[in-house]
Amino acid sequence: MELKNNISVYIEVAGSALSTLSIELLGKARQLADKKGEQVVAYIVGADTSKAAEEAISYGADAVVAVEDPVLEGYDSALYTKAIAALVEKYAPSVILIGGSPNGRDLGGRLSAKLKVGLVADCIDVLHEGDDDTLTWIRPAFTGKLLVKIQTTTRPQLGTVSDKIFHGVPANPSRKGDVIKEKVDFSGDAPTVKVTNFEAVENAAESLSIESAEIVVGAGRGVQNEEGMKAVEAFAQRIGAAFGVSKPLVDNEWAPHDLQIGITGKKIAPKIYIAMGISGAIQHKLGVQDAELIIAVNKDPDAPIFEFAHYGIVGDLFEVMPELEKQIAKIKG
Amino acid sequence: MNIVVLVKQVPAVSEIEIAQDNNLVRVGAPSMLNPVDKHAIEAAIAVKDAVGGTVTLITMGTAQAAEVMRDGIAVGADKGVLVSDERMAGSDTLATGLILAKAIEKIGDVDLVFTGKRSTDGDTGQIPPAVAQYLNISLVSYADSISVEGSTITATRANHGGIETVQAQLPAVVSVTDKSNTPRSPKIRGKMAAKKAVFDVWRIEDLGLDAASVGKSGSATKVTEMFAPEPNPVGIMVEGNTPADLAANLVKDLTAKNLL
Repeated sequence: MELKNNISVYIEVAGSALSTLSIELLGKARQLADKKGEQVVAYIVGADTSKAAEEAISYGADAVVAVEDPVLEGYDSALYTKAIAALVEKYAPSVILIGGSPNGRDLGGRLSAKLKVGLVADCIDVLHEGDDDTLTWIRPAFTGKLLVKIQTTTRPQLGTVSDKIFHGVPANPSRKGDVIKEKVDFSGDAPTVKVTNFEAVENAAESLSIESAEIVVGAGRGVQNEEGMKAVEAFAQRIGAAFGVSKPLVDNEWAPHDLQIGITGKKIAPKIYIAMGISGAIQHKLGVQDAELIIAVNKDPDAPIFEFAHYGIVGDLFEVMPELEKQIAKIKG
Repeated sequence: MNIVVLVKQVPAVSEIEIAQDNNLVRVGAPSMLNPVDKHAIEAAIAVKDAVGGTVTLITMGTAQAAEVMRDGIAVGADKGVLVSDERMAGSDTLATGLILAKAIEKIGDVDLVFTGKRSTDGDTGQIPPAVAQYLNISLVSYADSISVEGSTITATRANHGGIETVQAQLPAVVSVTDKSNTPRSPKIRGKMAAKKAVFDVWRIEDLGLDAASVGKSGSATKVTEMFAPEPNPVGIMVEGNTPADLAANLVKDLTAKNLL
């Protein structure tokens, strides 16, 4: 199989299985490759890659190139970068899709600097616009108010992609593909970064999490000040909803980043999302578009949020909120 | 301990507006220190308090960009360096990472480089790994807590649906989150020092770089288009004359459609 100029995916392994984000990337790579008649090659790095390699093929890779070495047991971005750089030299991929996870972003940034090639971070889409292999990456810009198209002028084209944007294809264990193991010389290398402990965070956290709650209330700049934000938070609590905020409130340091809903915060998919005083910048829209029902309250009838909310109320959130609470109390009876 | 903090001036968020033609309206928009950078400065000062050392702030941009370093001087940073050169304009993360790494190299024998996890404007989070790679040193990103002992830094970070504890050998680049600490407030003496502070200004020649490796020519990405997605209104605007009417009509409709 010709493995050059292909569409490659850096596979992140969590435990011994593929991360969900890696599966999403394989799905997207499959789509891009099918259109161009190209191959999807999965790059896997670790101390033992066999199981992940099998999985990658079942999720759409045509081939796996793996670098296995005991020094790769834990994730040290420097050593993983060295491994991927060696594969780039040998296989000259046209593109490497990298998950926008903490470790993926680290790999992307290091790889860009090591190979002196361009990188586009936290993309929400990627497509071939022309006939050649040039990819157009789309990402939010200007604090998420606009989208930009970016191309890299070097090869391989590197991009990190946010999670929950693309969809993986279902696993097909009967898919076949080659697994090639490449040796990279790590003599004299030892990890300088080690993970010494890991504690899984229970999903059933004490307070409602915006990622798991059925109802989420979001606060935006319309709250005007921290006090206003707290009023929305109290409303959320009283109706049994989780509370989140839009990016400007985090940028203003009124709320921690953990509560940020949006493309560079949490992507949520509750049954009901109530947006209070949120204008609806692209960055926010991308974080809530999977909500089943979006209700927006905003003073400004031209606020972009009304373009994607299912129900819009033009009004002062501080006046509408108590009325809404009364109505909800009625039906809860 | 020789500590560097990379800081950035960003537009004050509430002031950014987009004009009809998709151009950023920035006229007269005030600027501020990238909020999470305060936590990077605090991390550096805390290490200095514990084990001694020097904290140097570095920022990149126009002369005005240097102003944000006064926030750092006010809480105990020792000095600031402004890297400023019109030839750097248009630098992407590849070029910016190189410029900052060269500035850190020029300071020499740096043990720790702190940064905020990302900036509110570019929002890429790619500078810390790029700088770590150019300097060929360890990287700990998205640190929610840190402690330094001897030549080891221990940090916790959210990853893979949990919290991992990471140990790295110095020298290292460490990017921190807004959870990592509580930034201290400046005292009067600090404010005085901040007011009086004079910053070194370095041009690209001072960093041993040439025009080809910075700015647009040193970058490997280009923006081909800027756009707002087509509006595609699908929703229902709730009718009503008073907030009470609006709320009642909304809930009535939702109940009728079995959406509640």
